[in-house]
Amino acid sequence: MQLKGKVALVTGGTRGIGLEVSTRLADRGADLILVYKKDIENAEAARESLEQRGAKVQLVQADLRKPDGVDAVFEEVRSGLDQIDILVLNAAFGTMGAVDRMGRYSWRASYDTNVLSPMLTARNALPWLKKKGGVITAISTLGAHTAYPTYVAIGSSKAAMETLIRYMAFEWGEYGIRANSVAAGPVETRAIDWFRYPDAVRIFTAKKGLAGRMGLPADIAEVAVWLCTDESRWIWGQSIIAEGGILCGVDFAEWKGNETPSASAGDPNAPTSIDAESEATEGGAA
Amino acid sequence: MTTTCRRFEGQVALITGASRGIGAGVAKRLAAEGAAVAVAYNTGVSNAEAVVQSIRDAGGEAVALQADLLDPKGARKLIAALREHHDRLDVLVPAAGHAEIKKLEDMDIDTWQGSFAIHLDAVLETCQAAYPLLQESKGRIVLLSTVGAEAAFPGFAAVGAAKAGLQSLMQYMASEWIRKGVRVNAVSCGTVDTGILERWEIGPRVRAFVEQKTVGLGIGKPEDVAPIVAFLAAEESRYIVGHSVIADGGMTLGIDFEEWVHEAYGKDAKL
Repeated sequence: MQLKGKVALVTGGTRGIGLEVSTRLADRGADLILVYKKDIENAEAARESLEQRGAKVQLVQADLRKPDGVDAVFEEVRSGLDQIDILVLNAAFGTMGAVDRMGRYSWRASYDTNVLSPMLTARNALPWLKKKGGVITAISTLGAHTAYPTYVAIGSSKAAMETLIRYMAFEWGEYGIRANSVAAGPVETRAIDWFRYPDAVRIFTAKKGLAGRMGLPADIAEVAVWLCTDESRWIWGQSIIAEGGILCGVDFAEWKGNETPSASAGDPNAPTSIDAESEATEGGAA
Repeated sequence: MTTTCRRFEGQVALITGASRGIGAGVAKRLAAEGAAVAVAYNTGVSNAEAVVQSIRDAGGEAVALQADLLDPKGARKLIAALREHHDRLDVLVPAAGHAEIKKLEDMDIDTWQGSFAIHLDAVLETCQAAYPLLQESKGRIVLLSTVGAEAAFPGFAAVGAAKAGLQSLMQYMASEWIRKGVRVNAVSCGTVDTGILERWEIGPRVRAFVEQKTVGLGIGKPEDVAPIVAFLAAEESRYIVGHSVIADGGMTLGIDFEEWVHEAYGKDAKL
């Protein structure tokens, strides 16, 4: 029970990777403040299962994309558990689309959720985190380190978030606050369906990722929770990439050259032009 | 040790350079989590025996194995010696190494080649020799690198360049061997208090810099590196493949202008 007596605030903590993180934090003895967007039934179910694991759980409903939504969370924290030792910045949003089709609204929505909100959330949590030298762990994406088709709004905003995390570690190190990110490869969550062709991502990841399979929320949560514990005390301001080895390189022995079906001859940026096979091959050049 | 988990119960771990410093810290940590540990050393027999004794005193299992990894047959002999004690190998941590400070204008070929021989050639040979056993156990290799491979710290070129090579070797091993179930990663360390600072003329300045300029933990101890190696050797990190994790307590995180603010605007000036 290495986290007994600690309280963790997890944004988006009631589903997907966030719920896996919450579960592991609870198993290590932490109490939880879980911020969710709107699905109260799902949030209540998460609360119930986490309470059965022995955690005190405070649920906070908020739209973190709005600055006053962030402020409202911390009003509730003050009147609730009134303690934050661990902050997990997990809530994310993104619109899929190629650069030449990216609209201002979609772009802003990604940056508001993935960059502005983590900054405001961490700033609000700072007075609590300062008390005993807290930990901040953010969930990022491999798309911040390489490029996927139509992923620019998410990938580039998460790259900004990772840099933000580095600055937090730099500026708040003097308070003993440690901040790091986990950059996740393709993971089997609801978000995978944001891709127009999720099966292409699945095939690519299984074939080209060295681990030979899609990531599971638990794979990422294990790393994130470890970063929240004292075990990782010497890691400051880093982004740990957990992607099953996709970035490692290309095995030319698997390169079929002209045998590979080509992407449709039309607009190369259109997500519709990606079929499973060409994605699997071309994506492997990352 | 505060850990209560026993992630390496029933497993065998081989650590080279384990008679002192980071290697010794890793050996003790893995043993505390249930691994039967082989403590490989070259010349530090009494140190190695002390590491083995402290592991046994704590209720762990350990054996000291002598190996000269600069000998072309050294790595194969080491694995043969390991096989006399154990019929399996689950975790390999090649930690043998040394660091000599020498600026490039004074660099001689022996210092240069010596660094590559121990940090790169010997690691390749050790991993190759261990590979058949690691395949059988779906084993893990955790290499030890340095932030001197990611950035330049004048005087550190022989180690930095060799470790940069090691990080590339790490990726190649990861990509060629993962399909056989062997997972390879590295920890890229900042300044670790292993006694090496006392042997360098520049050591006190390194210590002063890291202690004064690091926003986080600054100088690390082997006990700060060991849990990171253990994590990368454990099932928890299963989705991390072919990466070098920077662990330096924040030493290379950024540049603090405070000193120059004071120089330019007086010591009462604030950022």
